[in-house]
Amino acid sequence: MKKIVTLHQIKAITQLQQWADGFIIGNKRFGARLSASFDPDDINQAIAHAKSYQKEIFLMANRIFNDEDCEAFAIWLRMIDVDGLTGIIVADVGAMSVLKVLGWISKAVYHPETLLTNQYDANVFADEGIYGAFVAKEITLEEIKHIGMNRQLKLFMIGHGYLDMFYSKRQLVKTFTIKANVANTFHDHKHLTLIEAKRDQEPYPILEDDAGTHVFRYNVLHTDKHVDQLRRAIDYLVIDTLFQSDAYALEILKLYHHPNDQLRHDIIQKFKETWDEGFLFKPTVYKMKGESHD
Amino acid sequence: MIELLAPAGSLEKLKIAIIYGADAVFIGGQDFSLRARASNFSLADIKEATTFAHERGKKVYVTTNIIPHDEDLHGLADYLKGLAENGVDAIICASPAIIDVARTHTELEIHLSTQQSTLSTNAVNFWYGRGVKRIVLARELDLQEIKTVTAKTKADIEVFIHGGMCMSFSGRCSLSDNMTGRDANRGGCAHSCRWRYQLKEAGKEVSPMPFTMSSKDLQAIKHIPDLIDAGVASLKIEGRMKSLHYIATVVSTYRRVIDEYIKTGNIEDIDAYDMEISKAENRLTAAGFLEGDPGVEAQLFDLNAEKPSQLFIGLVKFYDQTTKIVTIEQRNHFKCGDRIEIFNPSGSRYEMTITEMTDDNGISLDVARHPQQIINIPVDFHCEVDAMVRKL
Repeated sequence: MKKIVTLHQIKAITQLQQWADGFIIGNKRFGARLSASFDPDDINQAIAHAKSYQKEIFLMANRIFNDEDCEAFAIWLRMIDVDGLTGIIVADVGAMSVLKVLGWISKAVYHPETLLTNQYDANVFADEGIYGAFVAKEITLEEIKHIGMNRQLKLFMIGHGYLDMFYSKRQLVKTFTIKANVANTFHDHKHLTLIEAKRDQEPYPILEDDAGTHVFRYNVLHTDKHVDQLRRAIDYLVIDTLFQSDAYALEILKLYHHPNDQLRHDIIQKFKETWDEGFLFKPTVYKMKGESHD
Repeated sequence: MIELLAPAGSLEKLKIAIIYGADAVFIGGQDFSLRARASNFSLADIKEATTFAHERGKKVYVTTNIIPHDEDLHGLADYLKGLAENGVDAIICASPAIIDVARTHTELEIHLSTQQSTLSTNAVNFWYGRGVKRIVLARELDLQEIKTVTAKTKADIEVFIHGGMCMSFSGRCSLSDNMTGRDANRGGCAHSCRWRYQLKEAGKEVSPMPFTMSSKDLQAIKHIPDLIDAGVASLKIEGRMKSLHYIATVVSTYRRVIDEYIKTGNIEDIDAYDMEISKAENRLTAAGFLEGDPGVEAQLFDLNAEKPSQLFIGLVKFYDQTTKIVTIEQRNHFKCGDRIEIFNPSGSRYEMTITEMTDDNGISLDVARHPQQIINIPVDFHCEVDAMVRKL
């Protein structure tokens, strides 16, 4: 199982490559919830830099594309050394189709957030010739293992980080500040949280970027205790450091390389985070007939 | 001919939707469907629904739009065969697993749910190439984008025109899963987006105003001509859990808008239709993304800003043309002296004041108190069976 990590600065590759098998970078025109946005020159530099260490680079293009995005993406990719990329992470089949037309379908990594929850759906685009797919964040470890044991493509999962739980195309922080008549200095701002009255001990990070508005879980997902099991099911474990830094990534990579209680404890203390295991052991509930859900 | 597609949470609502002008109705079965609270249909109900619809030249679609886990897929093929055997015209799906099982085991027409958030021509054609006949577009497209996509595909395009809107891309939201454990993509959405929040920057309150992620409902009356001209195949009304009165009013209004535009190439009085449809709405409305990225005006900041809709007080069961007495089944409290409006399925309306009424034993009443009580009222207007009676 390879460990790949989102990147804040290209120069961090030098240090992180000791522990990481690859890196995820993107540009805000096509990506959402990025640790940083890189221009084509930076991306090509990162590709070359990573290749010099025999490491992999993935391009994050995980907005849900409309026609204009599809056309612009095809043009923009001409500036990228796509052959040097291991994969291009896309969130919808429209973006995947762009890669097919351009002859790069074998680079496509399908990442539709919540949608790949069963073995069939996770594998269904293997016949299109794509490189891989992300399992949904909302399924259990047993379900992940079941899908993984039957995979027909490279299987990815987010193994560590703040998981997004809401993605709107709307600029909700902007409209809020207009309505509240306060200055809007919050676009791309990574220190905003939402508090819900009944859950006031769980501030949810909220981020408005060019792609829209995103709300995240309060607890940071960690899966380091289950690396041995995941290794048999997952090809790529993604470490997302959106609200942290490359220095944080370094610590986390070390933990996942050699999981242990002391290091985990030290990282949690140092970075003042609260961790949990997401849905690994907490299955969501199928519909509850007759109950009020409001 | 463009299709007007209505929701129905029960057989009664399905019949009303068709009587009031829907060309097709979508319903939920008892499995594989979102909207767990909607009173979902058994196979026997579905048989009755398709029989009723087909006798009138209308269609019935069944939602099988969950995002299933492996354990949910047991019995899928048999269930889909049952839908086909009971005359269902199409299923609405979001999962390739369900799509492919339907294609393998049945001849059911397949529609792709908005849960797939289909925004581009590429995506539409991708699904069409995998055997999906109709694509329900994501709500995040404007009119020009809808026109472009529709022009560039052989797939039938379905567009939402009315009702509640997810603030998130549909199918991509797990607020409910995370905050309540209820799986939004398997029928358990807790609508956590509509709760009140406080926005803080580095722990400090940005404004005392509550932060919400709630959208005003979609209302697209004035955009119907553009959507018809664009070649859209189906116009969809959301709301399987809405009331009988809501279904009747919304369907009837859009029916008349569509018919007027097709017949005359114009809509003479948009405001009148806006006024009519507002009688059934208790939420504020906006145009969603149809006019471009929604701004402040499209968002619901004050969650108490619901507006009162007109009260639905009864359903017409019979009208005696000789005695000019209408027989009504009571649905809400009303009394002599109340000003009411009778609203026929054909669209004609009549306002009057109730001066007298009797129960089914002929006993004179001042007040209709009891649910489903049969009430007789003299009315000098031809009332059609299944007409709605509203209090003004």
